[in-house]
Amino acid sequence: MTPRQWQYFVMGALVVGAVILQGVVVARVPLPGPPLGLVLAVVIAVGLGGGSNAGAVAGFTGGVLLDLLPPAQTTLGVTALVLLLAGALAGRVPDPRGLAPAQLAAVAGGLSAAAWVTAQALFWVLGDPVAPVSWFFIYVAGTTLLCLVVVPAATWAIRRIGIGHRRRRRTRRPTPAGPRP
Amino acid sequence: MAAQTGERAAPPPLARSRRRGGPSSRPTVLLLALAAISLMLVDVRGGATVQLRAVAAALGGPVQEWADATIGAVRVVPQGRQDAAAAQQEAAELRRRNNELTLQVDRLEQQLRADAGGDALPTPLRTLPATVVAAGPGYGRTTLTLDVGSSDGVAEDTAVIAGGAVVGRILLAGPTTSTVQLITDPDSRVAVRLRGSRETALAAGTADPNSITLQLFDALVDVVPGERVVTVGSPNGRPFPAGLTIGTVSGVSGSVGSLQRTVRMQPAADVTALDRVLVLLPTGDAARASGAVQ
Repeated sequence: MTPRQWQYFVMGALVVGAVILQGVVVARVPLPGPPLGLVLAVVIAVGLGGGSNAGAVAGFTGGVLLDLLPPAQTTLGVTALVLLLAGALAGRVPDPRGLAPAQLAAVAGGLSAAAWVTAQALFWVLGDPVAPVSWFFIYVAGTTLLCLVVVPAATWAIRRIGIGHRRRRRTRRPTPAGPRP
Repeated sequence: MAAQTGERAAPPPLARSRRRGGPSSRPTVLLLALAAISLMLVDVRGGATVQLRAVAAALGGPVQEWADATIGAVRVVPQGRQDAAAAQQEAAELRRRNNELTLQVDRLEQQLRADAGGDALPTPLRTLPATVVAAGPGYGRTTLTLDVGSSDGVAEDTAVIAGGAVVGRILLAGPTTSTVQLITDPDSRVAVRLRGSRETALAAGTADPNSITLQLFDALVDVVPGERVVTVGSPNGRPFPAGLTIGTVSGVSGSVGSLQRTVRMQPAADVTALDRVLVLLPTGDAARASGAVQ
């Protein structure tokens, strides 16, 4: 596999794993408020590490899976639209590798707030249950904190694995002729 | 070494392509957005998404079961469930509660027999133990996935209880898993009766796990906080048999007769910390479950 294919594989595995963990673990943590956005955090990481296209594809895929897998009962496509927009926006952050923790928190907070508001607006329009307003702050604060842990780890995995495989491949090539200085 | 250092400093291929071609991502985003909106329209119009969800339940349910079993040892769960001793204690407590519930059902049958003058007996009930393997992953915690499905005898529109109280009903029964709509779901409506005054009301979920709105049919009835609330019951006991505890009145705001009066109920069971539950099945369904209910 090429480094890029390895990166796509890692991104896909991260998104699918996050979707499963979201329902099996995150949503069952008995804390007040809504479940934190683990899938959103991974989508932001994919956007930051792979760009707008990768972020959008990851967001769409993760959103469709979240909308489809039991016990989800919300309208199909809402989470997909919200997460693909979040992934695409994350991919447009300038110089994503040089983000300080405060800047990452600002990006994660802004995207999680936008995702929450967009999702609730779509739920309201479509007649789906709308969450209490007070949950907005819990969701944004909790998801931002989650992003501070998940995003660096996920972006490291995405970049490191691709680079690692490229390095191993290139070390097998014959060295150029001529003595090294 | 110099080449390795150069590669370490170089950005990964995807990041480079993004910087070069930022605007080129727009067609992909637009295409995916259109696909998502199309899915919404199809779902709202009641298209093939029902079958799609059934397929997702059939395929995704076992994956969730496997993930729950795999992660079970390390996942974050309510305190007291992380070691074997606590699990055994909980199992013993569940068996005790199950026995109590069976006795309670027997007493209710006797009471209904007396009320009905000796006829119109309610259908005897059986229980099916189940484990929660996943919760609603989205913006609320109002649905659950159980590790039992239609192959175990679970049918849609049957009650789910925990800790001796109603917590929801089976919304969708897949082959090996089933989806529960909790009583706190904003779409949930349960006909209930105040135990003391015997006034009837509709318990409507609000997504808040600690508060359910009671819509009283008689606005002039006096409601006292702390009063126990039980189910009115449905025909053939589906989804809810009569007389099962669902919660207690937690607060009343507004005066008697006021249109603005709001009565709130605290669910008897902690719906945010459910791990093991019981699915109530009528005898007919239990018999068709080929012994899995026992």
